[in-house]
Amino acid sequence: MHFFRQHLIKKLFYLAITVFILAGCSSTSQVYNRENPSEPSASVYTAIYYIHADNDYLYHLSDGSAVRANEQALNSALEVAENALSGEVFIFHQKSQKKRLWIFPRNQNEYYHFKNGILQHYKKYRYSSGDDILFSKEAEIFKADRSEITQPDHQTYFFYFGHEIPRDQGGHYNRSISQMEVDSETFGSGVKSFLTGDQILDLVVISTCNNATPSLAKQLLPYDNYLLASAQNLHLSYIDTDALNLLETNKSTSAYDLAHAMSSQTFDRLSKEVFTAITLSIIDLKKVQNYINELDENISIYIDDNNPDPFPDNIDCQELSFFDAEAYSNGITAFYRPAKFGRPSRFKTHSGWGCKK
Amino acid sequence: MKSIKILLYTVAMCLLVQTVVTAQTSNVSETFKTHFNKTVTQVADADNADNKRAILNNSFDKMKTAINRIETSGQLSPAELAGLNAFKSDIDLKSAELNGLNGFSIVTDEDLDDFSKYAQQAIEQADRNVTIGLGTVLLIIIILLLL
Repeated sequence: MHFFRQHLIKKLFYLAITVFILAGCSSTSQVYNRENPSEPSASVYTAIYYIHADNDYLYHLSDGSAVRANEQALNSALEVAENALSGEVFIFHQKSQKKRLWIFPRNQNEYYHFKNGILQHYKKYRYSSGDDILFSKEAEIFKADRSEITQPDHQTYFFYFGHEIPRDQGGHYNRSISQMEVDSETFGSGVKSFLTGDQILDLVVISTCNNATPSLAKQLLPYDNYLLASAQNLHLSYIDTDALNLLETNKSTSAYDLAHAMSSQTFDRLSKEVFTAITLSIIDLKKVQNYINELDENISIYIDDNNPDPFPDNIDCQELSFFDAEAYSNGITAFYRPAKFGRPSRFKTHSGWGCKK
Repeated sequence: MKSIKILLYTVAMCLLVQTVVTAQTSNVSETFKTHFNKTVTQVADADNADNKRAILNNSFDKMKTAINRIETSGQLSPAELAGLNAFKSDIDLKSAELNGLNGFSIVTDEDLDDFSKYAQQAIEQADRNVTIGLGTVLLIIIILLLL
């Protein structure tokens, strides 16, 4: 009897270990898959959310309570997705990669796919070797699940929530996967990986600090029409995207009008909540293409000559001597309110472009 | 039977240690954010302007001292050092403004609550982040607690 019990325990133990190992082998775990989706109507727009959470996103409310900003962004995105009755919404929540017993990788990242406001897929996934190229895994999932575009005026938007994307040398952006390079160039090529053929995005929203920059605009220009980003600090990291519901009442809302509505809503909210500067820029990439190479080249020369520290907050590019305000303002719509404290700017308005000093 | 017990205990210990390590993994900005959040609460609760100003100055000094000690410990990579230096420069600026130094007008008594929130919001922006090893973060926490 004793021998039999010992034998049984041994078997159970080995079974548990086997299940444990097998669970770690799959790079995705399907948690929810809608079996019999009702025939959805053709979507008027597609929105892709990428919420970065593999770093510090702690902030505090005015009552002192702690909040994880990435969780807040996820909840907002889910709410938008459930109300997107005419759209298709993909949400990627990239979290720190963790391992069981330092050996078996866990599926930490989350993926949600909504069509006409109904959840179609939810799964957890992780990066395997070869997935350490920015957005490569997400683009693969997106391309596998997206619907065919049938509407002639269909619009596609990409929303990025995270920390500042550096101009170059983008290693160590993630806490857990330092080998994944995240900088202007990899961001541009990463965005491209979501597209097929000569498709172009209608709007890219970068909800981070310091990314309304010529270098990022130059990288996105071949793949996007409009960019909404902040030239300097952006408190709480987050631009409001619920203006997407404009497309539910007016399907011909343009990408510029959508960007303008998001900027106005965000600007009004932040004006009531924060004492730091608020800078939001809508950049018409078709208009800035006439001068973006020249402007970026001037910045490169300035960097070579002055070696500015990449860590501090951006300044308004018009503070720098090479900036030609008349030439470099075409195609820019800037929302600006200076900080209540700190050194005042020499300028009453903002150029909409951010530079390192 | 005994060997299975030992094996089970080993696995349990591994899981326990992993949980503890994961819970403690942090980066330097989170540590300072948590510290400064207490400062903002204390400033709001302080009953007069002198106390509010003293609390802010003390908090800035603690953070600068912690950074100085970490920098001199020689454990940091150039990127980590650059990130921490930028953070320290920002604290220097806030400290100068609070006290009306380096060309700043002094923050008025009635603006001290707003200024403490402004400093907190500036610290909590989503700019570039500095990730530093767990040991260094623990050292910063100890310094912030002891000083």
